[in-house]
Amino acid sequence: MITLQEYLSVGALLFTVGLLIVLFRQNAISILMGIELMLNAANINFVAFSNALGGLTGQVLAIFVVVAAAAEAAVAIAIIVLLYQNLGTVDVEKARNLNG
Amino acid sequence: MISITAADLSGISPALHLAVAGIAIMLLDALWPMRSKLLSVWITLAALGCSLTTSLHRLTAGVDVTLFNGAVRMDGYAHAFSAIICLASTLAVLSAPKYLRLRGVHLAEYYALLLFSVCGMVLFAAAEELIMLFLALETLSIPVYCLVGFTRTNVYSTEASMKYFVIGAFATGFLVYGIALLYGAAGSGYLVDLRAGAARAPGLFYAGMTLLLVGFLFKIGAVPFNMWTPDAYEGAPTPVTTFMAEAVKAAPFGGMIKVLFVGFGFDAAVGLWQPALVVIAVLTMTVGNLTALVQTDVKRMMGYSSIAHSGYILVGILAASKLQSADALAAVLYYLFVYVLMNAGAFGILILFSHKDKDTNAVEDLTGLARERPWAAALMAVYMLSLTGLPPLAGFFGKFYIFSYAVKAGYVPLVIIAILNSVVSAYYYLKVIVAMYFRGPEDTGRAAVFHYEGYSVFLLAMLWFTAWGILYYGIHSEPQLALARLAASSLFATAP
Amino acid sequence: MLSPYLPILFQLILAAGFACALLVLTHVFGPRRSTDVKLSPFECGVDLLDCAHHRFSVKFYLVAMLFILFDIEAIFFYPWAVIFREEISQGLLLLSEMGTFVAVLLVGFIFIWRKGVLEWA
Repeated sequence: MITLQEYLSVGALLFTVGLLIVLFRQNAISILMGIELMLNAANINFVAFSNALGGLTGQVLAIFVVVAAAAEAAVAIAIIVLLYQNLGTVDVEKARNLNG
Repeated sequence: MISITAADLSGISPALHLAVAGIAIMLLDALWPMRSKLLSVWITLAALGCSLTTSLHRLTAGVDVTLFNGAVRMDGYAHAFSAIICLASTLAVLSAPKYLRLRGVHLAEYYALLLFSVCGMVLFAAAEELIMLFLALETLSIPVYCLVGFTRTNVYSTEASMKYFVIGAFATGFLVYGIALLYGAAGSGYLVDLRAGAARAPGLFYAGMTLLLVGFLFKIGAVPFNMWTPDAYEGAPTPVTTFMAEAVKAAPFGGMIKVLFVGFGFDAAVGLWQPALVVIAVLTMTVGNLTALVQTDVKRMMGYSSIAHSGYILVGILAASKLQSADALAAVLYYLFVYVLMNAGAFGILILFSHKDKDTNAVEDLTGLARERPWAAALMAVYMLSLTGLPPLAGFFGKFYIFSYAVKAGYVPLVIIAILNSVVSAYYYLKVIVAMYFRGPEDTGRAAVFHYEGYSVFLLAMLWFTAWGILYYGIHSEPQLALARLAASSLFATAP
Repeated sequence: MLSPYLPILFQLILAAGFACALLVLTHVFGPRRSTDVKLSPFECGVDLLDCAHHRFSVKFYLVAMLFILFDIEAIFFYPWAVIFREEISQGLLLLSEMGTFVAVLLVGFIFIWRKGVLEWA
């Protein structure tokens, strides 16, 4: 039997990995993957809690998160394609035209 | 069994108008592309007008309904936010056609995306349940990512869109993870049940609360989660910046205040988030204002100024939570209303003098405006003085109410810092006025041309309305405050 | 608690170890006589036409985006279908609710279709 604690650890681990990817990778597609990992870490928690607490709420929440993540990914792909067309790179560090 | 009823649908009609109008615009654009542009402007304005009047009507009538099995609650608070947001979006829509036409991207999609985003904003302040909150937040943010990159061939626009997306989605990640932990602690997503979660599983609950608040702070652009604001403001097409600076700015406060007061409104949690928000408010005001001092681009400067204003609003929220008074929260709502007017106007002037090949964004670009276009300069001066907080303009009263309630709540050092910050902010707002009135082409060495390219009645109407609003609603703030009080007291009725 | 899985773990280690050992052994002891033919990616069959590292048309990304969206929306049909069976007495109402959802999706589809996203030429 896998305990709730173990599920949550996996979730926390995934979240941390996603967080580190977003913070330290420069490739826009890697960053997108990192964000997806963070959202899916939350999904693992939702499903694990739903399993532990009973009821379907957590699972329904997970479904909504999956759909929202897909919508985000679609927009992200569009923006990345635009970035490549305009700048010739998907490296966010090289996108420095705005003086920040 | 649980099903959607007619009462549910009529209850959320302020949001529903907008979604239906957005879908109608998409269909119209697909089937009848020749006529869709101008028509979609009118459809958008009509939908926003409908939502605005419905919200105001229901706010005054004291409508308070709980819908969709408790997930959404359209009370005075939600209706007030809906009204503020619809007003803000109307102003942003009025400023859009001229600029988009000049850039050759006057497309119906713009209005559809904007409407979907506004629909999310209305629901965001109405959400009573964490997943509804998340869905509304996604509905409000995703179209804005697209809008920021709307001028597709523009490098700055694309870059701003990328940066805004990365930070926005990052914030969403925090928010969702926080929601997951809170759900785990409370066993339910309803805000009113969160208190039980804190007693049952405090570790999970406080971790979730922290992550959720971090997500919110990203969205309102509070320091240290503010790095996206100036870049996104500068790179986005100016009408989108207008939209971001008023509607997208005000909406997250709608959800945040509700979560803080209803979800985390019990003593143990308040004891944790209040001190944290005090520190963040101080940082936000100070960092925002000090960085704005050195900016030469008005859009970027307004980005930092919007960070600073987030700080002032946080002071108002802290005062309201300490005093537990609807009057203090009403001051925050009034401030948001005034803030919308000031920002819409300031960006409107930039759009007024944008040319086909070049935006008018730098402070230097406005040099000598008063000589050539005295009325436009006068309007800009009104917006800037109001942002500074000079009496008798509305901006002054907004700050005055917030600060006086903060003093009453015992946040005297916080108010002193806020007033010092207002004084500092005068420097960069007045820099614009100095450039317009006291400098000429001889100072910059190049002649600035101020001619209207692509005359727009919409834009002029928006500019005059905002200026009138700032002059009028400052002195005659009582009706607005009365509405805001009505809204605020309905929130306190549900808070623990 | 995980003890029933221990044999599987041992088996995995054993399998991985065996495979690695074989690879190392052939690498160390095997004779190396490379010729042009041996170094080509495919020893037999049709000659290579082109390199595989090409840019894809942006159309692929567009279709990928649309696929993600429309594919994921189908997820909402599953919980609906489960409820539908349980609440068959309210069938018409449930059907109309799903009909609204599909109609909204359909507007999206009409939009991309009329915008010419689905045309490949």
